[in-house]
Amino acid sequence: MAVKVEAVGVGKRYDGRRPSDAIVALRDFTLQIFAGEFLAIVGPSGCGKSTFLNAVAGLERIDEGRLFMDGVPITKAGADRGVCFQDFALFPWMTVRENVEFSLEAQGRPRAERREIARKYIELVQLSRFEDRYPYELSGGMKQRCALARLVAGDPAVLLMDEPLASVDAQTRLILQNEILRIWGENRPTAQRKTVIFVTHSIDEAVFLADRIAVMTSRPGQLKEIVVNPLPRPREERLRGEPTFSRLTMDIWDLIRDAAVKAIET
Amino acid sequence: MAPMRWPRRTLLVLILLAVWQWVVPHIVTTGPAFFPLPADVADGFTSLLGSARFWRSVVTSVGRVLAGFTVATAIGVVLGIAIGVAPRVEAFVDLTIEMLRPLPAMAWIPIAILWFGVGDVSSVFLVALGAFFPIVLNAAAGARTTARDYGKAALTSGAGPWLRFRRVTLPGALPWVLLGCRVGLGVGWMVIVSAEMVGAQSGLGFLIMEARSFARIDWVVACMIVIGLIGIGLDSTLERVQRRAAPWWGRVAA
Ligand SMILES: Nc1ncnc2c1ncn2[C@@H]1O[C@H](COP(=O)(O)OP(=O)(O)O)[C@@H](O)[C@H]1O
Ligand SMILES: [Mg+2]
Repeated sequence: MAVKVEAVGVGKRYDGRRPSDAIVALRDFTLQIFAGEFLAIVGPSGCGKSTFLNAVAGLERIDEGRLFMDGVPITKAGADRGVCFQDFALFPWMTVRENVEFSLEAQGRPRAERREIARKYIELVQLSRFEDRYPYELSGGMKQRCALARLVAGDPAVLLMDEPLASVDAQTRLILQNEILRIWGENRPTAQRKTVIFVTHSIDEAVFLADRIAVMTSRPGQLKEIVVNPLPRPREERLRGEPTFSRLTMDIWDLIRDAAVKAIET
Repeated sequence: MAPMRWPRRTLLVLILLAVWQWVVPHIVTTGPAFFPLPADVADGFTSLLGSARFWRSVVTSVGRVLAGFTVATAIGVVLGIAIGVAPRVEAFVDLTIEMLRPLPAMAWIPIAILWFGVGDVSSVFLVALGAFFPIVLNAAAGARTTARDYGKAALTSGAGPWLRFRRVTLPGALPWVLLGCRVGLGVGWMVIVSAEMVGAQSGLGFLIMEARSFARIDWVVACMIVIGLIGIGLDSTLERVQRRAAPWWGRVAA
């Protein structure tokens, strides 16, 4: 399988006001993400997950190592890597439709074409009745769906999602997990799927969604282990009750428990 | 200001008027020439409203404020946005702005009169000076905050610099700009009255001074009330513009 995104020995340091305040967020972080793969990243809070995602997005420079997309070094942000931010970052002065159209506008598509594509994705996330509303008029779950539609409308090859479901309620969350799988292309052949890097602090979310789960150590973040998910696709709700599902969840929890406890205490 | 119903808003005003009319005369006994009562002021008000001088003064003062405000807005918004998006511009002008800002516009009166003489230009200059700082600082904060909160989302959508500026920076900064304009207009209105007291031969400020020299203290107070009312009018106009132009402003984060 083709490697889509590759991190080789990536290191990232945030300089503080004094040298002693410097934080090493990532050290010698190495990971390959394959084309069409759904990869989840879990790890204790503050271990550098967002830092890695931002580096792949081209929003954050790395200090060491190398980062490639399709074999080309990543130097800046681009439309080929869409990002779904944890706080959505929907543009509050744009309606749902304008938000979804924005990346198409950036591609210079004519208005009518933008409309049509946006409409399709707004329908996909079931926001058609709200396409002329502003973000402040939407519930948390609706904002999240809008952010998902905006993410995919420009058709980026790689979808970077940073805890996208962290701030929606538990039920909405289960529904949106299915929507994310649909957007990713679970029902399409692997060659037509997008590549997803999905950061989450929820282990069962990672297990339900991902093909592989990258478990990180506590800061400075390194790769601790990659867990291959044996659950069959399409993922159906009943899988959540299967023994394999809970065993996998427990195994991953075992890998990060100590570090997670430490992360809370410090 | 939160929209309130009129009866509740006017209650305190009415109480103060009542105290002024019926309680104060028992304490202050120097007579209406020194301390006019609401009824005296109301009389003065009526004669004032009937005089062409008064209306000319209102038009003059409002015109000067709007002129100064327009100049301040044109320069302040452009410079403020530039400061907010370009750290190099900020580094260039930052110290100058911080040094000039604490100076009250009134401190410029001698220089304004020296440079522009007594009259329109001086007044407009002082208003522009007073209105400029809130406008430039708010515009800068708006552009900066927008870049911080939405710049990444714009970049990862693949937007180029021009689209980011037009569709993200400008609309994101707009409510801040309008807030700055509102504050600036308020400052400008305060400045104009004092500026006209010393640096002009017309306008409401000048009218107050003139009324005082004729010992028409009722007119002085009536003018003060008019100045307050016009101030409210200007502010609520801009407040309405602000609410129309950016209904999302101040709502929960998106
Ligand atoms: N801009 C920044 N400046 C300084 N320190 C930062 C910055 N961003 C993140 N950090 C620090 O780097 C570490 C990793 O952060 P992050 O990647 O956000 O972790 P995670 O997403 O895994 O919770 C944390 O200790 C955090 O405090
Ligand atoms: Mg994070």
